[in-house]
Amino acid sequence: MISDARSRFEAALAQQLPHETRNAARHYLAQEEEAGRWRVVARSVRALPEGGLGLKPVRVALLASFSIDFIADALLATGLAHGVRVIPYFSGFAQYSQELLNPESALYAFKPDVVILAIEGEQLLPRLYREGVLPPSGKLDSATTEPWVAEAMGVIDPLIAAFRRHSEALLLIHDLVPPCWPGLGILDGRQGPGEVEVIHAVHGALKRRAREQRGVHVVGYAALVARLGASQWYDQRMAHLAKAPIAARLLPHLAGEYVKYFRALVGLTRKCLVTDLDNTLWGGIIGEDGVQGIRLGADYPGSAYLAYQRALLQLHDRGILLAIASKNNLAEVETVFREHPAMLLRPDHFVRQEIHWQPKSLSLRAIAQGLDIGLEHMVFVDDNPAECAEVEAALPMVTVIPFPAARPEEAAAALFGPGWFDGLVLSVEDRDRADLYRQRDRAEALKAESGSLEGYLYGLEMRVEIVPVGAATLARAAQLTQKTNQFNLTTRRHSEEEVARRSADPDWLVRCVRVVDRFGDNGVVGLVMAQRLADGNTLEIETLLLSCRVIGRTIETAMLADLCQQAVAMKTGRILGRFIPTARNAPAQALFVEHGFTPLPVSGPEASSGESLWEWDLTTRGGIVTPPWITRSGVDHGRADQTTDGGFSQP
Amino acid sequence: MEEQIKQLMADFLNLDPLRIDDATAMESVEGWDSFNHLNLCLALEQEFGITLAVDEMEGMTSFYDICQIIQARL
Repeated sequence: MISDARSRFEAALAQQLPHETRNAARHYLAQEEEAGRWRVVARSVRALPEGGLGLKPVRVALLASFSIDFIADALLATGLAHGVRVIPYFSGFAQYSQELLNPESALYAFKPDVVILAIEGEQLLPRLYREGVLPPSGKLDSATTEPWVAEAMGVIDPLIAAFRRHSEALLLIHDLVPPCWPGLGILDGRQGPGEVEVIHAVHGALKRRAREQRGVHVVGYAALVARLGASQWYDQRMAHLAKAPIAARLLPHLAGEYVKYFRALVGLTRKCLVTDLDNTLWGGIIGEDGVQGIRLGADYPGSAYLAYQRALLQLHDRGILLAIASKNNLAEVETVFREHPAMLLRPDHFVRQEIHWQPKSLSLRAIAQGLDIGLEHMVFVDDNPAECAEVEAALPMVTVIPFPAARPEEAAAALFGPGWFDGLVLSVEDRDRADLYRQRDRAEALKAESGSLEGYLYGLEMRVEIVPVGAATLARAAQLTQKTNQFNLTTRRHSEEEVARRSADPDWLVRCVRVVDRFGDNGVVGLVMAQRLADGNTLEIETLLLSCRVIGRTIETAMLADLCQQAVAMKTGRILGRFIPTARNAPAQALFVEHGFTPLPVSGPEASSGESLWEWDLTTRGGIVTPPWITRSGVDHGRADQTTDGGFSQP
Repeated sequence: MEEQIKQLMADFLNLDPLRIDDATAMESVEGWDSFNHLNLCLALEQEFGITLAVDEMEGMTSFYDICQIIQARL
C-alpha cells in the first residue's frame, strides 16, 4: 500500500529531480497518517551519492544528556525537504563533556559544521528538578537564583570554552524546560524565587553568554516544547526504557528547529515573500465584493487576515522583501490600499507589485529579475491550489506555501513555522533592505537617464570605504559569505568564527567594503579574504564578493586596487585568484579577464568543473588603479591596523 | 491491517514486503536490532493510533506476534 504522496516522492527521486524531489518530500512528510514517512525519506538520503540532488552537505554532531539517536530519520528527511544533506554524528549517551573537552575526541575528528548540545534540565540541575528550591534550613525566603545559575554555567562555560579552542563549528545549545510539576505546587516562587524563576535566570545567563561568543546560539527548546505541550512532548515510557524521553511522534519538530540553522548556514534563507491578494491579504474578492465588502478588521474572519498582514509586516521589519502577485485590476487594488481603514500594509511595504492577468509564474520571474535575487530565495503564498500548482510546476525552486483558505487564522503559523526566513544574524543592512532596494531603483533610474555609463557612475557620487573586518562588521561579513551568490568568485560559506580567526591571523587579509552613494548608505556590501601562502610571496584570494545591490558599479575595481596596496604592504609580489563557476555566479566570471590578470593552467577535476586560475604580478605590473568616479574614504591605516581594529582576542 | 504492518516492517527492517510472512521473526532478520525494533514499535503506534505497553513492545518479535498484539488493541 503505497500512498500517492509517497509515489510522487519516489518518482521524483528516481528521476533525480532536485527541486521536485524536495517539494514532493515536503508534501509526503506532511501526511500525518503515514507513520513510516520519515524512515522512507531518510533511507533515500542515506542511499544518495555525495552531492546527490544538489543538496548542501552539513556535518552535524549531536551531543545529548539523553539518547537522541531516535531523531536520525527525522533529521535526514527534514534536511532533504529543505535542501540540506545532513551528515550526522551521534555521540555516545551523555558523553558530551568528554567529547567537548578532549581535543582528540571522535567529535573533533568528525570535523562538524554544527554541534548541538542538548542537556535536559534534570541532568544539568538534578537537585533542582528532584528536590526543589527550598534551602535545607533557614528562612523560607533566603533562597536566591544565583547559586543555581552558577551551578548551571559552571557546567556550560568550560564546555563552550573548550569547544571554541578546538572547533570553528556553529554551536547550538538547548535552553531548559522548566519543571512541569514544581515541588511547591502553586507556592512555587511565592516566598522566594521558585523553580520556574531559577530556570528563567539560567536562560538569561545562557543567552548572555551566547551573545558574547561568536557562533554560539541558544536553541529555543523550552519554547518549542511549550508550543507543542510538555505533557505531549515527553514519553515517560521511552525515557525509562531507552533513555529517550522525547515522544517519537514529536521529534520531527525538534529536527525542524535544527534545520532552520542548517538552512541559514548554507545560504538557503529565503529573502522575498510574494503574496496573493484576494482571500489572502484580505478575505473576499475585491472585483466582486468591493472595498466595503472585503473581510478585514477586528471581527472574524477579517481579524485572521489582519493577523496575516501583521505577520508580513514583521517580516518586512526584519528585512524580508515583500511583493505582490495578483490577478486583479490595478485600479481596484489601489482603492483598497487607499480607502480601506483596516489595511495595515501600505504600497510602500512592497518592493514590487505584479497586478495583471498573466500567469503567476511569470510574475514571480519578473519580481526575481527586478530584485536580482534567485528564485530559490523566494516564497509564494496563495489560497488558490491551481495557482500554487502552476507555480510549483513551472518554478519548482520557489517555495510555495498554500494559504489555508478554510482556516485563515492558521496562516501566520504556516508562514513562521518552518522558519524559511530565519538567518543567523540580523544586520542593519537587513532591517533597511527594502529602503536599500528603493535606493537602488533610483540609481537604476539614474542609469537610464544618464546617456553614458561613465556619466552614470560619476552621477552616483560613490564613496567606498575598504577597511579590516572588525568586531562591528564581523557578523555582516560572515553573513555575506553565506548569502551572496552572484558576484562571488568562489562561493565559499564561512562562519563568524572562521572569519574572526582569519582576522586575527597575520597571514590573512580580511577586508570589508562599505559603499555610500548619493542615494544613501548601502552598508557593508563587499568582502575580500586573501591569504599569504607559505612561499611568502603569494597572496591568494580565497573569497571576493559583492552584494547584488551594487553590482555593475566598478566597486570590484576599487577592491582589486586596495588588494594590490595591501599585497605590497604584506611584502608579497603576486596575487593569485580563482573563479569557481556555480549556477548563479556568472556576474563575477569576467573579473580577472577584465582587469588583465594572466591565466594559469588548471588541471585535474578542477579543470573539468570549469574552474580557472589567474595571476597578477605586482613586480612587473604594479598596482591596479581605483576608478576616478570612486572616492576612497574612511580611516585606513592598511595592514598594520588590522591587529588593533580587527583583532579578536580569544576569551 | 496486515498490509500496513508489512509495509512498515519492510520500511524499518529493509525487507521485501512480499516476502514477509508469519515466520518472519527477530532472530532470523539481520536488520531487526533493538534500535530498529523500537523505531518500528513507535511507528506502529502512530500508524494505528495506539500506545503500546512495554510488555507489548517486547512481545512483538515476529510478524505473527505483531499482528496478534495490534489486533487485540484495535
